[in-house]
Amino acid sequence: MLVRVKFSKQGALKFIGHLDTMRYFQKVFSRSGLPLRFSQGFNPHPLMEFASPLGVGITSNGEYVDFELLSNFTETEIAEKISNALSEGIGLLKVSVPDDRVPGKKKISAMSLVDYADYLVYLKRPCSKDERQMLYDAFDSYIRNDKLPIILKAKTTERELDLKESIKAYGRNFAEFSESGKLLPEYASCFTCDIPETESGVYFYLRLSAGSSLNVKPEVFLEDFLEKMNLPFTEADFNRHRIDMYHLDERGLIPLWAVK
Amino acid sequence: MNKQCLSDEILMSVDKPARYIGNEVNSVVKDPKKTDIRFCMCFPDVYEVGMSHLGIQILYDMFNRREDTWCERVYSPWPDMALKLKENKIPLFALESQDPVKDFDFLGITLQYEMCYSNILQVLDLSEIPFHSNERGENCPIVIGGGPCAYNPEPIADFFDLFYIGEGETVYNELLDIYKENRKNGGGRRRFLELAAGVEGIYVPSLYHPEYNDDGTLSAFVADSPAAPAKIKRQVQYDLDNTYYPEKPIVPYIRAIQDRVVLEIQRGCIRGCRFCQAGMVYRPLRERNVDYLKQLAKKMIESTGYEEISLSSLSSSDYSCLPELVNFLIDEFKEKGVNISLPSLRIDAFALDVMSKVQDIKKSSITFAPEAGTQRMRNVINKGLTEENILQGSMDAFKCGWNKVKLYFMLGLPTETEDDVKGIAYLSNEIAKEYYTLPKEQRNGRVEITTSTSFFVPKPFTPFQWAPMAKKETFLANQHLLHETIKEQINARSIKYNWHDPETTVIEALLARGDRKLCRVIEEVYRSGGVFEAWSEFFKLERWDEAMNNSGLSYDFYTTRERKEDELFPWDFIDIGVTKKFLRREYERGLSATVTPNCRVSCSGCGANTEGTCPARQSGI
Repeated sequence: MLVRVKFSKQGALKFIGHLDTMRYFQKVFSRSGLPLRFSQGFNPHPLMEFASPLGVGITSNGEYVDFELLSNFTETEIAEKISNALSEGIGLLKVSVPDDRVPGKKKISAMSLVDYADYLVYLKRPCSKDERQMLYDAFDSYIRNDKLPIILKAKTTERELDLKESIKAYGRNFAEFSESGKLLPEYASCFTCDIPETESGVYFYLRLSAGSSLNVKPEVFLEDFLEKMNLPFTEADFNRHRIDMYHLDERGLIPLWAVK
Repeated sequence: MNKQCLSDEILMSVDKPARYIGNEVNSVVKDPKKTDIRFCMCFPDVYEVGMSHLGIQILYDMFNRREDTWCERVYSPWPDMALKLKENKIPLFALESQDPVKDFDFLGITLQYEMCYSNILQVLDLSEIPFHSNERGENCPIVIGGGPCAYNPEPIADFFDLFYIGEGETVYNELLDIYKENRKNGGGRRRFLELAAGVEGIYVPSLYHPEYNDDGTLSAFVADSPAAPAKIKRQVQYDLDNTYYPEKPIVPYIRAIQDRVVLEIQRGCIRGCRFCQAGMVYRPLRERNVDYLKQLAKKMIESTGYEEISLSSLSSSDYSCLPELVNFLIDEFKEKGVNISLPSLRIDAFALDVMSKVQDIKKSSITFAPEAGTQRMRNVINKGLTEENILQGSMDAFKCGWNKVKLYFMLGLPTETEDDVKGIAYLSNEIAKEYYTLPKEQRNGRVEITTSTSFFVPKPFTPFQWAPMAKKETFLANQHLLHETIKEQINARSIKYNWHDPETTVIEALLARGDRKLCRVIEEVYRSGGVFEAWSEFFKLERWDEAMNNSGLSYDFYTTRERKEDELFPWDFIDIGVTKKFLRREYERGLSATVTPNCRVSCSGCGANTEGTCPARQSGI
């Protein structure tokens, strides 16, 4: 059976990169005692697929990994076995069982489903009323532009992009963001962000294009925003957090855990 | 989760920040207010190297079993982090609590290889602990060194308050109890060191001073206090079945060099190779019970989730229950996706059968370590492997489908001649020749022979501790000769030759048989920027040249000089069981290329059998 696990990554563990996170989960599955499907050969490893790599330094409460079990378990059993094998910093949020075959289509996996991801970019330290005003005013003017041309740099290539097109929703606090980035009603109640808001904080919520065809990381927004608006802040002044990831179908946006 | 000592900004600015955050699976966190002793174990190299070390895992487990003690870890920060620590005036901290190392009761530093000595000073420097034992105040941690290099601690004696000589499972509890008692009685640091000197196996360098002859050799090693024993007795954990072993080893988040469960199946070795220090200082041979090992293996895999398990010992083929253990591991774990990694086994039918089950024959190689190119030379070093063994073993492997062979040799062994050097090329060629006697259908493409040479360094407590090391020019000339001779062989295209740079070898040799005069040299090397010298990208011979010059010392005195028979060595104050008389006898037998049979064949009276537990003695020979 195909299983999809939603997990969080917090605290010091944000410094563990994607490859190391993958290897960590290999060991988690081994410790859990769950019978995963393995690859063939002399160095077999459990077959897993992560929805999208999370960069070093970003926390999250919206990460996903898919794997296949050789025998059937209930979602509760799976959750318990995995939780017991996890260590502090990685939290189990949800276990779901998507259909692993859609008639007429290839096997669907987490990675191929990702279309958008929600991020929170927020100031690390509390700030003064003036600073707050400055940042929010700057954000308002920035986001009001029709176009936000940037150059997206990958390892070997560069491409020109209109960032504005990749921002599907935004907000300066969670309530505003929930309103602007409306999810289908059946998922709205599960829409949460782990980072609590305070009065002296500055929060930028963004829904960005994500996935294999176009992946826009929050740093891209942050760098461009600070530069274009000429702000006396650096990227190091902000934290980044991934809230969740979505698949877009005819009905609208569906969080990955709900995709069937 | 612990509160990080370092800011996000610093962690994001360095390579592999995961090295410094702790929180690993199976790491131990205690409430410091509820413990009496805080112990910080240090491996003086980068995290990924240090986390591969089994010894620290054993001691970590041992110390943390004491309710009154919390043992944590620290590793050498990589140069980029070391710079950040200095710039931001942040003292080096232990991983679990993120507390400064200088606030601990003990700092234990394991000494696995000589090239890490400058890192000891890096750790002390970054921890803000004075380099010299006699400069440390009451609030400084007790700095204690252990591990194989502690068998000649003299070149670093000034930097340590104590050394623990031998295997760590025996007297640490006694030492910590004495520490607590002394503190309770209001005794200070000096008093503790004197009391520690009374514990068997503990060496307190500040209670002794060396005296030298005009020629620089040691004339005497004098105890300055009645508390200091004339000889330090090395510690041996005789019962390996009822002692400490980590059932829940710490699992790093980043890839360590050894990324697997390590099962130590035995200690000691019966072979008596004359260049090998471990073979002498770990005598007598002691096996772990096979059922105990099976249980340990299961527990360790369950608590870690590692995908691979390996066996550790000096000569695993000599473990009496090896087939039973290996077959168990294969049956128990292969299905679960846990691979078995085997150390170099003697190549026989059993080994080939097992290897074919756990390795991809097409990708793996069979390994031989003849160490020497001619039978005469192998007899000198007492390595029993014959050319027939090697060719037969190779042929058996080829018939099973292997086509890759790795060969390890040393250059610069005592009595080496050009014939011995060329012999390496001839032997490599013979193996290739064997391969091509197989009919073409049975062959799997070309044969690939990888011949590697390293340089022989004489070590303390071996029969060769009197031997001169070869000069650098000789090493280079022989490397060149070997390279040319290989090229002349008929099967030259099947042989790849890997060689090494001799520069670090000179320093390794300097420190291995060094004396206390070298403390100044090591300190100067560190202060002039020497650190991570085991890493080729950082090592600079010039620093050592300058420091040696400034101290008025010569390399050759330590490295290429043959020792006199009755010379007093800086390490002679340590009693390792094996006698100096035995070592000298073996040296002379070596020079005349006389073989000494292994311990199971006959007993050579080495002196290690103080408890009557030697395998030879037990089998009534």
